[in-house]
Amino acid sequence: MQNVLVCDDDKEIVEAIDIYLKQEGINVFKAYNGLEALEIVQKNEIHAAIIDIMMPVMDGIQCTMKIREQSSIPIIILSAKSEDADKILGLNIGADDYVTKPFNPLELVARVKSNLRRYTQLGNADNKEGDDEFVFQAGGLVLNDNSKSVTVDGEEVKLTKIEYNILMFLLKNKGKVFSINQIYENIWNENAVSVDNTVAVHIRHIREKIEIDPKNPKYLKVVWGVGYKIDTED
Amino acid sequence: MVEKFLKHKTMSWISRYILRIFLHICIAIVFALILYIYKGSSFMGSDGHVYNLQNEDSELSYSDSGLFNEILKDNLRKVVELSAYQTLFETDGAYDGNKSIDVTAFINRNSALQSDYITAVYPVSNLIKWSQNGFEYEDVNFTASESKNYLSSTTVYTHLKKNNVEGGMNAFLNSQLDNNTVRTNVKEADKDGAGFHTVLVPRYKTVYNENIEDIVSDWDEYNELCGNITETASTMAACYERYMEYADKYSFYKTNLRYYITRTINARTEVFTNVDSLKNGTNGLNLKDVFKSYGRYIYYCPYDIEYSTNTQIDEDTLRQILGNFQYTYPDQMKFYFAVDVNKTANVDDFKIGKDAFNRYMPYYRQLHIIIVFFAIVYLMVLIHLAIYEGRIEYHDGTVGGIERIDMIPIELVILFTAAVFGILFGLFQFSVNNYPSVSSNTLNMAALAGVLAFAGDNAFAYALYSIIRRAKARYLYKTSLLKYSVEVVRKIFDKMTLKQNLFVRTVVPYILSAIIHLYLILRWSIVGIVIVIVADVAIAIYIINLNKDKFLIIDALQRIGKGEIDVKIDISKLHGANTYMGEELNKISSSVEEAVNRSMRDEKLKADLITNVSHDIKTPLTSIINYVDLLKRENIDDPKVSEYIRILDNKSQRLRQLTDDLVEASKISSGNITLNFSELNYAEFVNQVLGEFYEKFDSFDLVPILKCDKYDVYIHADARQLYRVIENLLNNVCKYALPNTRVYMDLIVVDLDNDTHKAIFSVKNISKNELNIKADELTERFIRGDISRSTEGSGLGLSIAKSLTTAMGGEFEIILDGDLFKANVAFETGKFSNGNPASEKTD
Repeated sequence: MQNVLVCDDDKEIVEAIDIYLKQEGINVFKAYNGLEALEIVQKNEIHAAIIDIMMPVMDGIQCTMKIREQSSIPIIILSAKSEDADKILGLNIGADDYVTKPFNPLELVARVKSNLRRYTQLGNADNKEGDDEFVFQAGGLVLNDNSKSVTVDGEEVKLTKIEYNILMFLLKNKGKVFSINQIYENIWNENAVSVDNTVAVHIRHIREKIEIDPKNPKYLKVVWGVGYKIDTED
Repeated sequence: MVEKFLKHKTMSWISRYILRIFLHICIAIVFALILYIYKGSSFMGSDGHVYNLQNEDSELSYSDSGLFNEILKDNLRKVVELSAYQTLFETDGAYDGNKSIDVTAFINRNSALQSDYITAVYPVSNLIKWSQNGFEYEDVNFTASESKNYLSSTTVYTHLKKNNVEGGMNAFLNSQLDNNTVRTNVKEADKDGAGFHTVLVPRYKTVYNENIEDIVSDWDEYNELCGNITETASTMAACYERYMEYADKYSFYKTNLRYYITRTINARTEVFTNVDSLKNGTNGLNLKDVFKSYGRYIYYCPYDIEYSTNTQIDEDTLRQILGNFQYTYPDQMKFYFAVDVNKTANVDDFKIGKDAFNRYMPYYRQLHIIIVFFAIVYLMVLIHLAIYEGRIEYHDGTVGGIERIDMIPIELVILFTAAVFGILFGLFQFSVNNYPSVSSNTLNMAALAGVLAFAGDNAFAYALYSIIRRAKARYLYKTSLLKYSVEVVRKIFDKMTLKQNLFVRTVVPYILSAIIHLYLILRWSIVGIVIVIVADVAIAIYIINLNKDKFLIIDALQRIGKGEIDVKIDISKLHGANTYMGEELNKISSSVEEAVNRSMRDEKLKADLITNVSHDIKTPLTSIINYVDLLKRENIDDPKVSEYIRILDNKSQRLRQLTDDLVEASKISSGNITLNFSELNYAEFVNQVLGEFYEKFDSFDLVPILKCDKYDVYIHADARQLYRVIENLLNNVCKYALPNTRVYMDLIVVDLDNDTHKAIFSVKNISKNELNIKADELTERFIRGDISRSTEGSGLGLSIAKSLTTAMGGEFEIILDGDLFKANVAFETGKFSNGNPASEKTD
């Protein structure tokens, strides 16, 4: 049983999240301000936390900083503040994820589960598979060329052959940006006859399969006007 | 060390205070010493002659000094004079009132005398008394017979038996010789002496007991003799006064000067001396040795051409001195002069000189060194203070520039200081003139000068440092009366040129100018023309300046017209009435600036308000969306309820979209976004975006057709914002395009003039609804085709797209043609390749 702390001054939101998480078999601790959240984290074994920013008594930013002083659990900030500056601030002070209100409950649940997996299961998996020359990895995304399998935070993902090839090509050159034509020439092994969006469509499909939120990709990133790359913040 | 010294940039007020006082003390010392030297280096001799101590005497003893010799020279002159008077008045070394004076011989003492001449001889004392009492004259009218009776019938002629003119002898000395006179009566032809004649009232008779009229036989002779008598008498009286004065002054116990002068005529020797012991005889004495023993001596014997001395008086000088009274000094003379330098007991010029010399000369060099030293110190402190002036740290911790007194106009300060100098100088003069204790005492005078210099330097420092402070703070002109008066004149002039009516402003000056021209030219011709030319050049310069101002003003107006908000004209550069124009223009500019700022502030306020409100909306909206979602998961059998839930779900999602778009739109329109520009490939970009939309187009039954005219079209834009532009555009297409149609997308590069190229991305589709609005209204906020109000979307999409494109420097254009909807997003491109890479490679 995994314990997740949910902290928001709006009780209905806490209740709703509680319902969603319980359906996934996750135990929920509820708090309605930063101080309560802190107490719960100190007294119970918590595996992840969802924290609102704008709360009475102690706000989410302070609360996150306090928790980070004593614990390395995943923290997901859930806020109505959707400015880039707010997101950057939240991630910089120690949060692992940032979800804006109004949120898609399924996305939130997916993020919670993803973070839990990263925190509880995959903590020491990196080294084991990282040595293998046929295993390519970026954060929670692992491509094993031996078994021709792709997993995201431990969950297997089904890809077509071309999608698999594109992903492997980008993973092999992690951090490098490739234009549509470059990708085309490398995967299809022929000259790009004309510029079209075949590659772009494939990339989109890959993103939809491996990303929780395809519009804000974590692994396969679009460098607009230049190309694509695999990159992770960690 | 110098740098360190300079780095310490401020000076405390207390050290400035102390240094200032030290400064004043320095100048006081300098002034006091200068006065001490001035006063101490000169003194007044007994007869009012002022002697100055000379620099070159500083190494010499008193009796060798130039001062001593100067005193000696002056005294010699007087002794020689005295000796001459003694010749006139003395016999055997004592005053002899009965000494006979032959008046005509005396008058002719410096010239040759006739062998027979008319004269009268009087005792010298009578002549002196006569002159002292005054000569009385009578005007008498004589008949011929009365005249004949009054005058003698014969003329008495005197003849000198010996009238030797060799060896410096002269008529007077010859007449003084004993038994040298022969008198003869000569009968001359009668002359008619009738008429008015001036008669000298006889007061004394001659030694022969005669009156004047007894000696002469006609009026011409009478008048001439009278003239000789009165002139001689006057001279004698004058000489007698000086004789008495000098005889007293140069008596043995009053002077340290010794003289012994002998004159030998006809083997008779006369002696003139003030050495009493030598009067009675010089037997057995070597006079030269006697005089040498006094210390400083001069011996001169013209006859033997013998001259010896141990003073700096040379023979020529002495001869010059003797020359004044040559008639008493023939060749057969011997002069002995000496100054008793060992026993200068008597108070005379030598003694005063010696005292002054000893008081001052030993310190001569030291005093000058001290003066120079303090003067240098004064200058150094003055400069030092000047460097730090304006950087003074006061006791309250402030570092001062300008002080309150610096607000007083500088001219007044200078005037005040000058007045203080004047008062102090007047005070000094007053004290010297009215208080003998000051004027006679060198030390008092020096002290007074010091005190006054101290006070004067206070005033000087006050003015000087005030000027320096002002100069450093660039206040010098600002606080001056000059500036004030210039401003007043300028204002009056400006008023005159602005406030009058058109006639006064234009016609009157023109007529006046013409009249003045004519007048000047007619009045002074060439000079007038020169003046007129100079004046016209000045006026021309003024007019040129006025026109320059106009260009400035026009330029500013144009800039305001173009929309610049910070347009200001420097009014101080304008002339005449243009300053008022400039002022008004600045006011307009200010109000424009204010209006722009206010609207920007309002816009930002609005954006903030919308952001905050949307935050507040989002929280309850979250709950709505979540619970609707939860409801959907419940197994609800009633189809009605399911339908209601679907509607709720739909609308809540739309509300969410709406709030996001609202915030976005207000932020962009208030300029509240930051743009991160980078070089990006427009063609690649468009392909990527289309990749994202591929499925979406499919789901709306639309067929996208993309044609890129060129590949590698680089533009300068913010990739994320540009993505939103294209995203909004394509979303719009999906929503409003007629299903089962093709959507054409083209990327073309258009060659504009001057090597500038434009990359245009255009989207064309057929609208499924009638487009009943104008193209530009589509990009207004919240505007959509009427029909679409009820469908998905906020209506802000195109507005946001346009605002963002414009913010990135691109152009966003919508063209409506029937049901054809066309949107262009254009950016300037500097770099692009021709054709697509495939065609390049196959070549």
